[in-house]
Amino acid sequence: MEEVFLPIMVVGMLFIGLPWVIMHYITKWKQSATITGEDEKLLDELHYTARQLEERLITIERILAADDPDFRPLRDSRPEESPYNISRRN
Amino acid sequence: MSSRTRFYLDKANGKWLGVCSGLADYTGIDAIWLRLGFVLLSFGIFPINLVAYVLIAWMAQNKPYGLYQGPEEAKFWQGVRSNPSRTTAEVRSKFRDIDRRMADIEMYYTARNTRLADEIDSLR
Repeated sequence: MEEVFLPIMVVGMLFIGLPWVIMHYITKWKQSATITGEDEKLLDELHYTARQLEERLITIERILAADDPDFRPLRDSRPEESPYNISRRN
Repeated sequence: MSSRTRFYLDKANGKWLGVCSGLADYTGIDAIWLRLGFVLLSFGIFPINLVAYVLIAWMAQNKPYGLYQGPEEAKFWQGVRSNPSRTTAEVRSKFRDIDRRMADIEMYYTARNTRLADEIDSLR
């Protein structure tokens, strides 16, 4: 009995179970990680704008800090991440 | 413009056809782990993984030159690929941060400026 049953089990697992699992995850991945071309373009632009604005803001903060030592930008309380160092005033 | 949410072969950093390094670029996982996983898979299902590798290399396109401006942008798009909504939320939080800092500057200029007032007083 067992020598008939075991190959059927193995073949079933290999040719039905495994593709099933793979297909399941492929469909899940397709459903979750989709973003249209327009969304992609919009996100790219937003990201670019945010970076640009932050750079300008850093410049303004630096100028302000050089102008008046009393001015403490919010950034000081956070870890340094920009190449600009606010303590290097002219 | 070529899409940045697609999978590309990365032959420039690849060992053979650039599938593993392309996957590394796509997912953000270091290429060495993917290569190790590929080699380890060879012990289990030898011909299948090689066939899959060649098939992927045959189907996928090469990575266009200059797809990203820099490593920061590459990282950003990796985030978009793995979880677009979280990346969108990150961009939004960046805008909020900019808004807060600008409000701080505005506050500084619109509030009573004691230092400037003192300087004007001293000039009198």
